[in-house]
Amino acid sequence: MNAEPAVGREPGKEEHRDIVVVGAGFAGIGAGIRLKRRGIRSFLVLERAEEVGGTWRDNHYPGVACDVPSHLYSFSFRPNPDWSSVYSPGGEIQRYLVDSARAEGLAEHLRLGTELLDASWDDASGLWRLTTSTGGLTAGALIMACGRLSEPRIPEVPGIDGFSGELFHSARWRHDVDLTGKRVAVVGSGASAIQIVPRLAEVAAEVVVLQRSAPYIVPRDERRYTDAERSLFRRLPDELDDYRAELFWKAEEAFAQRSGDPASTDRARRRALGHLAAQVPDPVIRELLTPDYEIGCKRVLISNDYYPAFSLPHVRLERSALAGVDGGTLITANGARHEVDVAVLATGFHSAEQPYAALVHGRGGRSLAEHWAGGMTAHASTVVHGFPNLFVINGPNGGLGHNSAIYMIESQLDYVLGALRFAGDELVLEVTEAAESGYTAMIGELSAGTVWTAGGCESWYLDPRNGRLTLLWPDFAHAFRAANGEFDPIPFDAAPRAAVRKPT
Amino acid sequence: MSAPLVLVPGLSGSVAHDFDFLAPMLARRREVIAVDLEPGDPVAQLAAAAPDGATLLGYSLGATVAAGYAAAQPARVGSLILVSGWLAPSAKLLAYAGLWSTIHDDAVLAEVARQSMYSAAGWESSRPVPVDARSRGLVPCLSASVEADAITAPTLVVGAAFDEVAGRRQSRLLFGAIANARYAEIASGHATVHERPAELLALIDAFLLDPEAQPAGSTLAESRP
Repeated sequence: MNAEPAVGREPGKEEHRDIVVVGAGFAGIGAGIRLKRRGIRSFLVLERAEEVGGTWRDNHYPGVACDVPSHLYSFSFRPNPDWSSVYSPGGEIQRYLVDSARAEGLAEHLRLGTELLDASWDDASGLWRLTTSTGGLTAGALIMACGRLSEPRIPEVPGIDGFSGELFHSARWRHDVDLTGKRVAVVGSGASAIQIVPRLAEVAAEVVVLQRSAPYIVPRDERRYTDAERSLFRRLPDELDDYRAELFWKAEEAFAQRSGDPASTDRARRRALGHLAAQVPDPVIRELLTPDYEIGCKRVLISNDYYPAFSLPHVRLERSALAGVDGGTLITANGARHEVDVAVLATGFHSAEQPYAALVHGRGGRSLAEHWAGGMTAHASTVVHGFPNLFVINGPNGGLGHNSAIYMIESQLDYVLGALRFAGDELVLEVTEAAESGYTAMIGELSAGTVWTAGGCESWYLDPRNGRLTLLWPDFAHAFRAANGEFDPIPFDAAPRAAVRKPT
Repeated sequence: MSAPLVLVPGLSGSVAHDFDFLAPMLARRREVIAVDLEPGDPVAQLAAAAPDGATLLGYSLGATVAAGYAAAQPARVGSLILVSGWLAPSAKLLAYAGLWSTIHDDAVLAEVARQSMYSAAGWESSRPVPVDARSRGLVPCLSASVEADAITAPTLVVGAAFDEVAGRRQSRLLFGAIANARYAEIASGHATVHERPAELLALIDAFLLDPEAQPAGSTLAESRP
């Protein structure tokens, strides 16, 4: 996609936009489309990469796919009758995002290859002052759409920098490294690893998976859509809407398993362990693959081909975490040593402490990272005290463990657009401290007794600094939209923007 | 703490069966009282168990029981939720009731009932219909009608678009007949509680937050997630 033309970017003159969006993944493209469709012209979407897509641009490892049905994991306002299968491959999702941005005419609002270096609130002008890798600009409102799984987490173990083979993270896949006939280690056994391992097993001479903690895995009800179905969805769009609603409400039912309801939890655990028993005949391997915590505490994964891989003679499981590297040998916490040619780090992302938080400075120069030193907090999962006219998508308690992230993003965008409409060109909106702490207390009450806090595991949903649930919304997705999908100006201090308005 | 919520099941007579998903989820936010029904006078059973001011949530036969109680003792009912109910039994419903006395094989009747209760789209959510002395004994209650004029409580009527037991028209007639009612519809067969329990939960939670937030006579928009 072509970025916006350089015209109007006069050197020496500070650019201004009413709204700047940071990030062009699902959230940023969604924001751009909603703004554009509303007829707003003065906005920019900044993207540090040379292409839109976020997660689906970065994750192109073998086997990458979504584990939420595609007809639900897509914009409600851009239905796609052509999804190939229930859970589409990552490349198809990436094409959907690229096509969406192009078809909606976002090109003139996209600034690719532009990394945010600093965003500081200027009280005097009532504007955000942004420093980016391609220049400075001011913004009336700032929408952070940076994702929550953007920055690969590399294990800090001794010797890792000196690994003598090839080593890369799953979200930075090296397609130039030929894995045919190689000895490959996969570090981690989460959502990425279980998609990668079956593909690796097809080409590598040896595969060893270093598993810190076993995931629960349930069957993947995968199938391709027929031509008749795709044609039906094109000819009768209502049918597609109905189907999406069906998928959504079915997915919602899975929250019961997370809420601490024992009967639903038992059913879910039995289903997962039954899948394990059916797919892994060897009792020793099955034991190694049996989780030691309650189902739902960590992300529940879906796969039909991960477990069977461990019945292959050249695929092994080491039930221990990576502890060190010695030349070409990976050493695990239990003392085992595995000499390999390639190490794939499927070790997840920095989630509890979002890297962008250090770049954003609110009133008084205080950074979002400082504000969040005790774990991420917000009001309505979107607005933060001390950070006027700032909106965070996919931020504090905006994630889900049981339904589509896109539904959450769209709910947040409804909120943000409501706020922007309310503020117009004149107002600076800042949520009160009391509202933010009230929301945080409410989250604490909602999360008490859920499997995330009571399930006996360490997950990326919890802030390791204090064990608070800061990534997930601990309720039904529909309850999030009911509570937070509509802007309410009551808990805000709204002041007119200072006389020093837009530099024009 | 909001008023207690009384759950009134359908022909199964069993809250555990009909509200297996909903009961624990509804209990997260309020006291929930389960009233299993036995053959005899279910309205009297409900009257004995429901605290004054409670909200009544009735499904199918339970909806007519809850509405019957709300009509008989309007001062004792805080608000009312009627799911897949009926104002008066349709000819098809009476024929369905007739099957329960003509089919003596419990297993066959359970499968026939299942075919009626669940829609084609919701079939994967279907489960065996309990057929036992209790449910067979409750069958005569299916012919009850609702004295809608006497109901004053704020009411939410939830109809099922593909209801082939009570008929969608009958839910819509309840909406027409109860003065203080609002109406929502779910794309399911008669067994909304099993086909679309989460969507039903969303409607119930929104209604209980403020039963009169939507004015009497209003229809609630279909959800478009």
